[in-house]
Amino acid sequence: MQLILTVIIIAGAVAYVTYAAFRVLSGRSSGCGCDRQECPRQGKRPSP
Amino acid sequence: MPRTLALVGNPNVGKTAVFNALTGLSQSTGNYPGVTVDRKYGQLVLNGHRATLIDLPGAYSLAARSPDEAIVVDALLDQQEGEAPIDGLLVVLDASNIERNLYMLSQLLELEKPIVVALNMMDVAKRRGINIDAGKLSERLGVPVVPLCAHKGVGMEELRAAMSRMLAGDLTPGRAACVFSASQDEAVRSLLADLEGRKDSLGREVLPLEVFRVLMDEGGYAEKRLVRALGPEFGRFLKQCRQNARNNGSSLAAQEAKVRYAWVHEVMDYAVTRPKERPRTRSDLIDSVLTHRVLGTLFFLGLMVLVFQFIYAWAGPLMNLVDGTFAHLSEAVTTVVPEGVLRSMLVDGIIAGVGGVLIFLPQIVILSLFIALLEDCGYMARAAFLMDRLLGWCGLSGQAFIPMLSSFACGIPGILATRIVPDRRDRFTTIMVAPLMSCSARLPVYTIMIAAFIPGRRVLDGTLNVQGLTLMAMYGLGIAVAVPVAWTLKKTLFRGEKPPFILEMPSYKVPQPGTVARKVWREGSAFVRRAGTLIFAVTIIVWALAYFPHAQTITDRFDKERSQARALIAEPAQLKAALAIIDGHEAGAHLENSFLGRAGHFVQPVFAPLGWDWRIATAAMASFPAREVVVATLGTLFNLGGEVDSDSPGLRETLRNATWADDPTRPLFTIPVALSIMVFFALCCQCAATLLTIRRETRQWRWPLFTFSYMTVLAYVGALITYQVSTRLGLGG
Repeated sequence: MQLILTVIIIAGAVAYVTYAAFRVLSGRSSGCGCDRQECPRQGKRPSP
Repeated sequence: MPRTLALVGNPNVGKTAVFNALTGLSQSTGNYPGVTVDRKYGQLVLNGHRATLIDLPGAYSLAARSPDEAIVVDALLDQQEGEAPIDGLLVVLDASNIERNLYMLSQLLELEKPIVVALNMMDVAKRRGINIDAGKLSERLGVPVVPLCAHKGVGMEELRAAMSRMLAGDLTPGRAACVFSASQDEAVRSLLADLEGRKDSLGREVLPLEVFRVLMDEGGYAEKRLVRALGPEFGRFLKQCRQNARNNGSSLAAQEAKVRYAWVHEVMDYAVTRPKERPRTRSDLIDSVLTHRVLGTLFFLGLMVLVFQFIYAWAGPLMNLVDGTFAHLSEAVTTVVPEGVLRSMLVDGIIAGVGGVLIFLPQIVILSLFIALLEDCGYMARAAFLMDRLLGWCGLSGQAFIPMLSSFACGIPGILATRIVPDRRDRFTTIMVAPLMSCSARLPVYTIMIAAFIPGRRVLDGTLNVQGLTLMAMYGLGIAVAVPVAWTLKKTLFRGEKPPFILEMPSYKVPQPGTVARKVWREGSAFVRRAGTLIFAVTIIVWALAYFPHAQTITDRFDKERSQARALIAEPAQLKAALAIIDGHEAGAHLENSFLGRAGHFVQPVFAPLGWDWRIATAAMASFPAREVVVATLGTLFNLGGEVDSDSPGLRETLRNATWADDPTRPLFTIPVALSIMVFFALCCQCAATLLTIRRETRQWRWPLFTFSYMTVLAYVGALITYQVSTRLGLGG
């Protein structure tokens, strides 16, 4: 049971990191921590 | 249909404060020019009328030279691809600098769009003896003029009423009054006719106002864009038109300035009274000290020493609190979850990793608080002025200091802030060196190494703490290295003259608690969000790589050793100690045999000259996508390796007690190792998001690749020299 739960959590973590990398690469996230297209530190991100 | 309105004005006149007040948003503001470098959008609803309000970067005129000014001109000339045309303008003027602000207004009036003028900073103008009759000004301009003190909220109701009239379509465009020479009008007509014939190759129509800017702004953004699209033939035609327009007179830019200032003075004679001599203000008095070559520099250095001392003095108790909370959490999980793989993941992975990062929240908050206070009171522009001399030495202007300063919080806004630098070569040089500034993600690395290995003693009669001074030195290292790097870049890849530096000194003001609190909250919450999302997920992956395959043969071998110990040792205390040693060895054997352990051993020879073992090398490699990961990885690796002392489970103590796997008597972390790690992290570009931002801003892959390469080499060589020199100096104990 512990192993199954652990594997699910690891799979979730891998999926999240892949998703976060995709968002930054595709320009949907500024990647600076705010994780929003409209970065509150500097306004709208530049167009790619 | 919702309308689109633009908020425009000179830099640092309070546009974003007005934007926030009208839209209810909380975009970043600061008491220095260049805080806004891109458009920001907000929704406005007044008397049932909806509109999108766009906050544009500040500009002194429509003669665009830097990328942020180009954004303003493109938006105002409706040249932004995929954006709705601008239906009206809210122009914010600084009442205390009305003359210069009216210059840009004279250009905006020529756009023939409805305008509302917000006359901000009326309180400052009054203190300086400047009296502006808003009624007369409105009458002369033909647009509503609303006196305002945006930061106090005075006049906002009147502004909303005027905006409401604009949204209802009750306002007509103002009166443009500048008359240019017949030869200039003729040149505009010739250019328009030529461009009409090139409409197909250009793919769009060019408006008369854009053509006027192309004609007047020699070497400006509008000219460069058209010449790039139409080729050198158009450039030659433009040159001919300019010669005709100049009509043997002075430069076109000078002729334009003359005409516009004549209009400005005419308007001012009608609506403004001001003292003949500018009175010496409190800001002038303070500036006589703070911008003084010697006194100002000493004040700047003293201020930095104080900031880093406070970071250490104030953060300590709060860090212990966070540390204690995670230690209790770890104990609670150990009690509740039965021994096994899940417990290891929760305790050794998540709690050790995320907790190890979150402990630095108090320091991040205190550093952000100081930066926000200095920004809001107006000191940052003075610091940029002082830095102009230092940056001038390497061929950059003081303008580069503001992006560098923003990089101390995070490299991404710092790189975006380079848009205020007009010259491309200067801008690219600034982009290349901005990641050398120590961002908040480096703070945890410095803190943990300093807390564990730099003695906490005081010097200068107990006034200064050595740990605080070391932290300041690490921040200074980024600047110290950036100067020669920028010098080299300006002498090689981006060769060019140092551009002139003109920076407006804003008035000093008492920092607004709301603005400061918002900035601190933003930095703190971004740090927590990153720890709770990306760092959390990465920690789980690092734990999994450091835990598996968890070979049964290793477990069996140590089970056998445990049985032998039980059979041989009768005394309970001795048995407990022996079993603890066996547990530690087993954990170490599993870690070395793990996927991460094998990879770490593979790369370790590269890092051996820096004094690092495979665990430090692995943590450094794992943190290339995001540097904060190093602390979480160290927490996980040393927890899994059985190095945690049950009496002091904090990462600082764990690192202090860590030893080499092949020699348990030899400490792993010595002062030279700690220094080499700090120097490596200070100089290395371990942030994928920063590299992607460089790609977006330069539109080429070679610049992020170049930045990554030179910084990695610099980091390695810097760490190598630090380790080797400090070891030879006998700091290794």
